[in-house]
Amino acid sequence: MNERNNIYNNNTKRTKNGLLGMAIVGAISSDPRNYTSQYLDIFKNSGVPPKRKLTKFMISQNAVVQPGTPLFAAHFRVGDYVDIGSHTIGFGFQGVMKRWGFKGGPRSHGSTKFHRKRGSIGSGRDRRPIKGMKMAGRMGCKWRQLMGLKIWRINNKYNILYIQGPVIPGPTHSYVRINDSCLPKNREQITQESHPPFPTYYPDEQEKLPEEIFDKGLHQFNDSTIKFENFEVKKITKREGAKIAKIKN
Amino acid sequence: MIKIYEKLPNLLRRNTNSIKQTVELVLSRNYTNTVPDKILEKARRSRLGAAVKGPAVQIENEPKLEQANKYTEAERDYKYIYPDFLPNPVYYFRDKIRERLERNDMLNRRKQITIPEFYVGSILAVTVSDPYAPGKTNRFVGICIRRDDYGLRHSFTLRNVVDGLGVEILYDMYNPTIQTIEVLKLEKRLDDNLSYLQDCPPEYSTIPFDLQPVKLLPGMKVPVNTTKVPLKKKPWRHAWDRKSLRGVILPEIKRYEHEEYMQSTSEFKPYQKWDLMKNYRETIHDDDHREIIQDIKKFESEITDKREVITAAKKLVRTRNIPSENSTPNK
Repeated sequence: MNERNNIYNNNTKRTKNGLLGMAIVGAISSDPRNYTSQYLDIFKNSGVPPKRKLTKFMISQNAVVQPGTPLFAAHFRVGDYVDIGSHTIGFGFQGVMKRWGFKGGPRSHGSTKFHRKRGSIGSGRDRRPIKGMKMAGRMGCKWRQLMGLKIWRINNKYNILYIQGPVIPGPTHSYVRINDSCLPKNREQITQESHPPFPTYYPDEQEKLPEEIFDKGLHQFNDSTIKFENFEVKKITKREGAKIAKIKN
Repeated sequence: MIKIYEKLPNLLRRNTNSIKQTVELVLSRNYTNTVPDKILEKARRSRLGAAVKGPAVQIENEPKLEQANKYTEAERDYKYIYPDFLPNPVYYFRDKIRERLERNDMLNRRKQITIPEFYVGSILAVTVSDPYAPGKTNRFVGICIRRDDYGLRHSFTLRNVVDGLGVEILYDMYNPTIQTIEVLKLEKRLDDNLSYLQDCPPEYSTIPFDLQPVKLLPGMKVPVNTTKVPLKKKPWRHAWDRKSLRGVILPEIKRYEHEEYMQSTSEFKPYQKWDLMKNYRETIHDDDHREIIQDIKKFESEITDKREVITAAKKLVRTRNIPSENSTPNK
């Protein structure tokens, strides 16, 4: 099956394609003098300068790619849905009000040393605090994934994806792991007729990509201002069969 | 005491790296799973692992910065005329390529609409396309209270009193539904933030919707409105007496309130005047300044080309008796 479908289970019994392999992807090549000889042995056979960061993706035997192939932003298409995972921002040791959003105590009216504290830990029944009690501690710097985010725009010159979402986890200039989304409603959109480039995008000298690709529903800044000339306002009419109270004699 | 002062220069000479490291730590917080800015920018320009063919990052087509040793006065004024092109003073939030792409989007939008020069305290009229309004447009007039954010997210708020009710509306500058932005009265005020008008009597923030635009002669400097606005009685929304405001007439402050203010470390900070590092972080580096000015100059040259074409077309229309080579004089 020459499709690109997110395989999120290692279990070989469940996969359609049989045994899975591991593809190691690296980011940001750097000076080999900064690394040990054991780390440099990974890059011996591929002929690639050593990378700062390595990750692994589980792939089927169809999708094997020659070592040393560069991955571009055109690996994805505009309108695709994507899962993103990364470490969130680290806030350090934080108290209960910032970490869990508790309300704390009153600032005045006689409260003695109870402004930002937690309060009671448990009841008199168990005579010990319940497991999972929310308390102060280290906040942030956890691995989190956001599912089903849409790509609205791609810049091919600088290899940039414009992804919709409330937030992408992590601070600026952090590493981020991008997959095709595993949600069933997004997997249905991948068919044999229309699917992103499999196994990756290989550039052609003859068919060069445009510098920027936009989604259809997106307003480009080159376009004129938006005017709602053909917008029809739905008028609110009375409901038919409305219940009207009847006066009983 | 004299011995300590003699030792300090020796200590500084030995541990110059430690000072640099502390400065870097303060400016760049160390987070796991991140790439430091220096290494990122080096990697973007290096040839290691870069695919020469294909839509990868192009190394040679970076814009060459013109070497400008001295800036003219007109170029220095760009930070007042185009404050949305300024970069974020917090270096931690910045990325050069994202700023470059945002600048392209902003200039593309400015070719569709003329966004004029205005300051906090000037009176504007904004028409926005509204699907539910009768004429599909909505016009609002008001004083500009503040201008926030950098880049595409630049916004300004207008304040006015309508039927006895104070109204403040926030407009994103690069919103595609904005049709026109007119400046009815160009002027400056003594403060950068006029949000204290909500605690002032409503006469000072009412503006009639029928205001006729006031034209300034070419070559005039932007006038400064030195009115001082009195505040109403307390309670206020914010502690306006603790912020150094110049366009405000404060009432008498009682002695115990002033002592509280002097003891509160979060608000009483007169030493910030002499904080050099804070001033350094909020100013723009010359390299950033150069890139921004280059893009703006290109944009202005493109617009002036269009205007010359339009004016030349008008001249052709006006001349009806076009002289030919074999013209004979009128007898």
